[in-house]
Amino acid sequence: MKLIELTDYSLRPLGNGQGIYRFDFSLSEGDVCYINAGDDVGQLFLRALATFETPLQGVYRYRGEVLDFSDYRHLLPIKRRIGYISSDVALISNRTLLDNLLLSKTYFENTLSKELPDDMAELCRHFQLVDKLRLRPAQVSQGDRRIAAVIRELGKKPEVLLLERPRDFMGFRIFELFQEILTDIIHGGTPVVFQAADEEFVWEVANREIRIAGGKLESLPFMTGNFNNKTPVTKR
Amino acid sequence: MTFSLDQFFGKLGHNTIRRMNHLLDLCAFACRIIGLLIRRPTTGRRLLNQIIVEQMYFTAVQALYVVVPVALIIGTMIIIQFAQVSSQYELGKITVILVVREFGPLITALVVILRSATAVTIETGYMKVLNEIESIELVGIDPVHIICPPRLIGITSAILCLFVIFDLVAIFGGYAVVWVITSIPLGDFMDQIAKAMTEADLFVGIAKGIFFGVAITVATIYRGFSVQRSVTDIPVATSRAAIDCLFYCLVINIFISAVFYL
Repeated sequence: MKLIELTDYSLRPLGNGQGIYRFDFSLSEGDVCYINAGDDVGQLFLRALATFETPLQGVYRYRGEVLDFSDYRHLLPIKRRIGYISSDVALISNRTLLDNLLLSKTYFENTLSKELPDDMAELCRHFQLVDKLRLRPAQVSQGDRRIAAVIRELGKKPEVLLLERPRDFMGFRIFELFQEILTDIIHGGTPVVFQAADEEFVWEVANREIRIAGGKLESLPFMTGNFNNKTPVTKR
Repeated sequence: MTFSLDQFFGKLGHNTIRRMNHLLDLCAFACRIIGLLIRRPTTGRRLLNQIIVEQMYFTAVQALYVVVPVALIIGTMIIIQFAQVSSQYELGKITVILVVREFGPLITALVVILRSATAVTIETGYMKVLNEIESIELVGIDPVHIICPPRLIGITSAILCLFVIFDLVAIFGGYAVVWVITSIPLGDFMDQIAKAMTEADLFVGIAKGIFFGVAITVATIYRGFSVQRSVTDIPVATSRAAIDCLFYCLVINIFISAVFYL
């Protein structure tokens, strides 16, 4: 079954950028899609997949269910199932990093317990964030804020992972650590859509290319010639 | 450049529609928040309670350093002036009329607007600009649910508490200060206040506190949410929120006073 299916979809541009018009797109388990597009259009497409952009026209289906964009509240359960790691994501500035990570648990489980779930605690150890959990976002470096945002998104156990320029976003050191986790995620069959200018990373993980140019979107298998005429990669 | 009657009425009509739309938006927003309070969704109650306590601490407890001295100054001023004008006759009644019915709620509201309402607009505006609202949505939580009802309860309760404290400090603190420099007998003063206070004064105080709280919260958060993507929108929104709050509180004050006392 297709996880995400966009039919006859059109998106208005972000700011003065370019829109994407009348395209079809689908995402299934095991897909690792590389977005080959300008920064603003790539970001627009990722935001659209994360249900942050209301389409000009078209239908968004998530696991076959048509999404209703008329009220943002209808989209909240979907957003909760999507991991969105981009320059857009932020932490709540008047809460500690721990509170930010626990926000979902605090709200949905109706508890004020300050104990992190095991998987999140493991991620905090992996990214060396444990000592900074009691600090507020303004008291830690930008890198640590981003790590916390990444942990929060991964802690959701997302059904889809959307990444915007992960190496630029996280920085080299954290990205190395993140890649180990990403490999596990991809091997687990979770679909990933990402934008990156990083040839090595694209080459290593992508099995599909989404090419967006001139307001058109094309979905292609990841082929020779996409990056310096290297040979195609077969995944899994 | 010519100025025609058409243009004048066109602009007048345009502004009227814009203001009416704004007012309707505020009403709809208020209904949404009150709806959330009435429905009391089961999820997130503990988190909401925590935010309510934080909001009350910020709006009520931390504002005591401002409200108490202001109440003392206003109370002293009124008692000194009216002790001379009325030669101590009806002094208690005048104090009740001015402090309990009018100055108390209005000055309390003014302190809350200056101290807390502007802060709420700035906080919400920054949350919008820095994508914190979107981040709350990403967790699957309705931002309106965790931002608005706690602030509505927190600010309204804080206004009610501050209003009571303002009245007590203005009347008794004011009297204590005046007692040092004049010879107004405490017994007469208390007797006059007791006679002047009616049940209506109590209801008016509560009604004003509740309506001011709702108006201030809705206007400030609405302005905060209306900030778009630019940080430069925040001071504009804050200024507008403060003016809106003051205006709505004055209108509500007149309306409630007219209903109860005319």
